[in-house]
Amino acid sequence: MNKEELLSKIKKSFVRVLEHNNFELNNTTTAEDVDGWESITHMLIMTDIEKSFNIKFKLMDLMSMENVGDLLNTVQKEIENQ
Amino acid sequence: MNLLYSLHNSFLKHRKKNAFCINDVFFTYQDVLNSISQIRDKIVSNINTSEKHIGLVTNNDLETYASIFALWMEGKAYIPINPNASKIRNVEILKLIDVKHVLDSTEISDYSDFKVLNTSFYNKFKSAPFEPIKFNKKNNAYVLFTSGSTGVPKGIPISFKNLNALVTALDEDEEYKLNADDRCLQMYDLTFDASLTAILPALLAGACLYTVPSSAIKYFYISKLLLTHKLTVLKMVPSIIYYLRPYFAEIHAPCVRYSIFGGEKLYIDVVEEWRACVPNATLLNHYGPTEFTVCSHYYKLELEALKSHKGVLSIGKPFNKVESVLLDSENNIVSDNIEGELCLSGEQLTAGYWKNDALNSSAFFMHKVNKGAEKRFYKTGDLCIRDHDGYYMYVGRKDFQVKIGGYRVELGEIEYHVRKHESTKSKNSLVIDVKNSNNSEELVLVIESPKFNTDNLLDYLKLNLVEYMIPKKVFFIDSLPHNNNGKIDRNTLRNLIVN
Repeated sequence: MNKEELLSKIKKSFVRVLEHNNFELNNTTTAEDVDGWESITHMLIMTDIEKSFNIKFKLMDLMSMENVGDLLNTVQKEIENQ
Repeated sequence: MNLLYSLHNSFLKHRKKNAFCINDVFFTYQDVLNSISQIRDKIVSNINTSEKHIGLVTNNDLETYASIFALWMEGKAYIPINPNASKIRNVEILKLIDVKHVLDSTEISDYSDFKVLNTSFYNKFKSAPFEPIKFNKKNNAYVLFTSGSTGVPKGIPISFKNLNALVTALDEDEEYKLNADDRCLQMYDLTFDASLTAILPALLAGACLYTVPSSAIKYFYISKLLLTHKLTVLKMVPSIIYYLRPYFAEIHAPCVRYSIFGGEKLYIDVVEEWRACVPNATLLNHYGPTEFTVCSHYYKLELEALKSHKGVLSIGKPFNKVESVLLDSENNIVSDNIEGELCLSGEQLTAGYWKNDALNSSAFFMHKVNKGAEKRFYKTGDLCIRDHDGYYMYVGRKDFQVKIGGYRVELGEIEYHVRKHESTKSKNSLVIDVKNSNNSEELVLVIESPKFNTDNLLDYLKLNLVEYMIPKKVFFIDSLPHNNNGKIDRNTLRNLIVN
């Protein structure tokens, strides 16, 4: 799966949890740029991404995630580790 | 204990030690002293002695913390306002209490309707510390505004006398003693009074506080602080561990000496699992309403046979000097194991809601316990039972107040604003709390109507309410379910939403 495909699948998780698609995701996107992406929904989004890729994030990775670019790299790393 | 002198002495004694770690930058107690002195100078030269209530924009920086102590040492109260909350609501709060001056460390303040004292450049050079002034202990130390069911936030003034009683009660517990080597978490927004039980014991002991920025995803930022700085004291709202639960296997923090919860229901199954993450920690559950200065009861978790009710951990027993009774609707004390409304009396009790006679006459009353003198009690609205051993168990609320991430929310306040909006004015609607998949409470707005676009409505709510009060979901229903008494059946509605 290339980065674009990953990103589009990740976006689906955001849309499912946030219930709107009024945002763009790219490497530098942070929670401040997306309406409704905050503490509570963050965990729901992460859980949804875990389910849709059948992966499990590590706390260390989640702790250091600062933007969508970090999220993308982490998902990619987890897929490769499988 | 005289809180202000004890704090001042601790600042002097621990000058060279770190007092705060804010955004990865350390500040010593000397830095705190410098900042306090300079802000006090500015207060004295700009604000009249008789002006007691000063607004404070709660940024995550040294100046904001120093402002609290500077105001206290000048015998004044801080009225905290969260810079991320609705400006309309913040201005309403400041006007309700007739605030004239606002301390703000932001470069360009949003509160120019008031006289703003900028505190931002005030800790760069050394200045001589000076003792707190002498003043009446009935002066307010802070006034917090919480959600009000009529749509208007209600002000809860807490005096220095109240605050002294709290720190004295905390200090009496021989098993809960912080020291100058402790590294303590400060995750609370300063508009939330639980911040005080994180901040004050730490600074009185000469420990270092590690703060959490408001923009951070709190539970991950906390895990990072915990694991990188090896924190020793964690005071948190329970929802933090509810979110971290899937990752408990990766948390091993033998450094933690105390793990304290407060602000909302603590579920026994989660806390038992959490214990393995902090194997050397003493675990405590704090309970108390803002009206009773943060904390009235606490429960120290033993290793075995934890006390709980329907999966929710006990709130333990009251502090020594707190009068705590459970009353029925006719103000009679209920028997053990029978549900009653928790009512509190003692030195920590507020003098009453700010300019709100109606609420004061319903929430406060005189009551005689046993054959003693009549005392002023406060009805918490919390329903509890007490077991034969004197332990209190939280059962639920008597009204429509819920806790979201530890914050008190009156559903009525949200509904009031929903009813004012054009799109929902003529429709039946209500807000209910629903438990989400992470065990945390979430607000859902229910509208009796065919589906329509609610972007405008939600934007309107964002303008008028605080972020945590905004419903996370909107649920449309053809007709609201009612129970036999003709009331809206909230439980049926909850089940419909969850499924």
